[in-house]
Amino acid sequence: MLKTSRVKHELQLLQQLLPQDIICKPINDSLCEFKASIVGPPASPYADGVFDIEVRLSDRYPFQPPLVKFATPIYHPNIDQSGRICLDQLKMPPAGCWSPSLNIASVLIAVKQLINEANPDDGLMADISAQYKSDRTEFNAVARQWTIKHAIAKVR
Amino acid sequence: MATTSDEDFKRQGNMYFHNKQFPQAIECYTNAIKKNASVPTYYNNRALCYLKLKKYDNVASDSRRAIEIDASCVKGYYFLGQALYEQGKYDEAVNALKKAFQLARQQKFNVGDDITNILRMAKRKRWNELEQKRIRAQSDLYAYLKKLMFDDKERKIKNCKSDDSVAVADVNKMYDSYSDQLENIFRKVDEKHQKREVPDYLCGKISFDLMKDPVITPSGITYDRKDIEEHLLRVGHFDPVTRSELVPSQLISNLSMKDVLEAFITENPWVEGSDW
Repeated sequence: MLKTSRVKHELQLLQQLLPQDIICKPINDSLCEFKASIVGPPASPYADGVFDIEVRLSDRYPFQPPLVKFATPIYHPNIDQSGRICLDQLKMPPAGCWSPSLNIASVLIAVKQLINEANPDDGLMADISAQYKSDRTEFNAVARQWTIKHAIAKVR
Repeated sequence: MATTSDEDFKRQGNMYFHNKQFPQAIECYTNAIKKNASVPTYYNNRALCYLKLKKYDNVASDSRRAIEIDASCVKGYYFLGQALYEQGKYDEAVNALKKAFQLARQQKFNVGDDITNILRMAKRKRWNELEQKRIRAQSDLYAYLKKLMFDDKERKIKNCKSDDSVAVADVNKMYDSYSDQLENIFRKVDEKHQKREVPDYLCGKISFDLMKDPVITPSGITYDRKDIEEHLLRVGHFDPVTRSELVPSQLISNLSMKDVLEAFITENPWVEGSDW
């Protein structure tokens, strides 16, 4: 009951709050699953890539964070091969900082921020984090290759 | 052979009711009432049988009788409300169901959401009915005023000298201007009525819905009690917006906000029972 009225309202928030380079739409009428796409930030190895993201709301939402996963492979210190994202806002307190005052739109904006500014000290991927810190040129090259292969090729 | 007592008749009736043999059950309850006309349960039980048979007039008279005997009788008001609802008497239905709801709460009588659900439907229907009536009255008024103006214009033109085309043009111009203004006013009223928005400041920061029982936290943020309590239980002991520490005992009913909410509901009856 709470979830339905809340999610209906969130649909409006998605329109109001999301910048142009993020889109998010419900997959079906159940309003439990959403498909989002984020355009890679310009001047980053992810530029021009379109990264698909799955958003799922559990029955306990908003008392539990949304489940957010990358569907498009991305080479990033805080995102693993299966698309899982290491982001405080997506985790329950006390470990994370999810709060029911956050919403799908605010979470997607945080994910976009994370793409742009990795957090290698809290890296999910140890190797990539290490490389990000010690050899940024090589990291950028690999991230660019992945972007071209997975996130750009498919939009052609 | 011992005579059958009113309670015996009631038990028999309950048995028939259980087997969905409503006419037989009604006969038993009628016999019970003949023996002892002062027990509200007999009327209530018979009302429920009539309800199943969709004989709403009978439901209404039996439940009214039960209420006369026992004014605190939840079932009486509940069945009466249902019957009135089915008969399309939404205003009376709302009153009866409200009473049933209040009594049920006072007596901690557990009826789940049954009363609230039908109460919400009755309120919605009542609102729709009022709204239809209002729209009809308004369009009648509009047509009437428009005709008055038109007739007035015709009369004025008739009074003009036949060769005075300037005077006729003036009359026409005035008529056009007035008729535009009238249309504008009515359109604005329509827009106001069609606006179906609940302002954000009346919505809980968690449910994004009109608050029912607003409570304020030490940080000054107002939430709906049910939501913030669930948050404290499931997510953690902090204020969702400001993240300062928060425990359930710090929540204080926000009575001013409650007044504001009530005023808003009174002025915007459509919010009740709608998902807006």
